[in-house]
Amino acid sequence: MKNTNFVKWHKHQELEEIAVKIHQLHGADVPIDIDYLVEIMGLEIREISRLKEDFGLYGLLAKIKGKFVIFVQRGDLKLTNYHTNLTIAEELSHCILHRDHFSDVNSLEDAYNFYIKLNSQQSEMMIEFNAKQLAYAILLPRADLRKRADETYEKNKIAISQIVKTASEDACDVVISSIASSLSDIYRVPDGAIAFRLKTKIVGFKDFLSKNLKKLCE
Amino acid sequence: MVFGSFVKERRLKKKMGLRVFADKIGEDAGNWCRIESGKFPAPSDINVLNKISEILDIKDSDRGKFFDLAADNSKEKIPADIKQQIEENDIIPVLFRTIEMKKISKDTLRKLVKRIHEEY
Repeated sequence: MKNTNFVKWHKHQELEEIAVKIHQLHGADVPIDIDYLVEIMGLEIREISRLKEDFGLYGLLAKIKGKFVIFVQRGDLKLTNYHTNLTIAEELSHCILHRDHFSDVNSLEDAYNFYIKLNSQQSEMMIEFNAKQLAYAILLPRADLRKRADETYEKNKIAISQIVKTASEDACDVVISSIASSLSDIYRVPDGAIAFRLKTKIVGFKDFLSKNLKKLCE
Repeated sequence: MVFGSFVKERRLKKKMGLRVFADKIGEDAGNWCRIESGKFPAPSDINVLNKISEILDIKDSDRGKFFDLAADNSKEKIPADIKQQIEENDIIPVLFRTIEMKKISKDTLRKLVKRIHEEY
C-alpha cells in the first residue's frame, strides 16, 4: 500500500482548468450529460439496490478487474436524478484527482486499510471536498452559470428587491437560494449545489450581489 | 459485434449518456446497462427496437444489421457460464461516500461486495 499521509490538495483554479478540459470533451451544451462523460473517459456506471438503506452509502467507486465502475443507488430516477448526477460527478472527480492514491488498492483488505487511513488522518474530508468542488465545476460550467445567474438577477430585480427588504437572514444568501432554485432544472443539479457554486470566489456572484443589493433597494 | 456494443457505440457517437438514452426509450437504466454489456438479452419488442433506431438515427443501410444483432442476442444465446464469470470477477470497493460521514465496518464492506456479486 502506498503511504497516504499526504493527500494532494488541488486549488480552485486548478480544478477549474480540469473542468474546462472535460467540457471540451462534452461540448458547450448544458445540462452536462455526466453519464456520457463517464463513459467516454473509460469508466462505467452501474446501479445497485438499497445502497443507502443497507450500507449507508450515496455512491461507491470500485475496481472490477482493474476497470473503474461507479455504483449509484437504484431507485426512482425521476425523483433522484439530480442528486444522482451529482453523485456520479463526484465519483468521476475522485477518479480524476485521486487515482494515484488508490492505484495500489488491490484487495478488500487494502480497501479497508486505505479507508481507515484516510479516516484517521482526516484526509477523507480533503479529498471529498476537492471531489465536490470539481464535480460542481463540471456540472455547472463557470461562465455559463455566471451568465445565467446575472440574467436571472436582471430579469427579476423587482422581486429580488422585495426579497431583500423582507429577508431576516443574510439577504445575499436568500437571493442566491432563490436564483439557484430557478436554475436547477437547467443544469439538472440540486439547488444546494448551485447555491454553493454561486457563492464561490471563482464564480463571484455573491461578491457581485454584496455590491449591488444595497443599490437595488435604494 | 454484438447488439449491446453496437448500440453503445452509436449512443456515444450521439453524445448521449446511458440514463438519458434509457429514459428516451422508456427502459430502466440499470437493465439497459446490462443489455449493453451483454448480460441481459436485447429487447425483442419491435416498437422498442424501432424507437432505438430512430433515436440513434440508424440509417436504412445499417438497420438490417441492427435487427440481425438484436435477433442474435436472444436469451438462449447468452453464454450459460456468464453468471459464474461475473461471480469470479474481482470487485474491490476503493472509495465510498458515506451518508453523514458514518464509519463503515469491514463486515459491511464484505456484505457490499456480496451484494454487487449478486446483482452483477
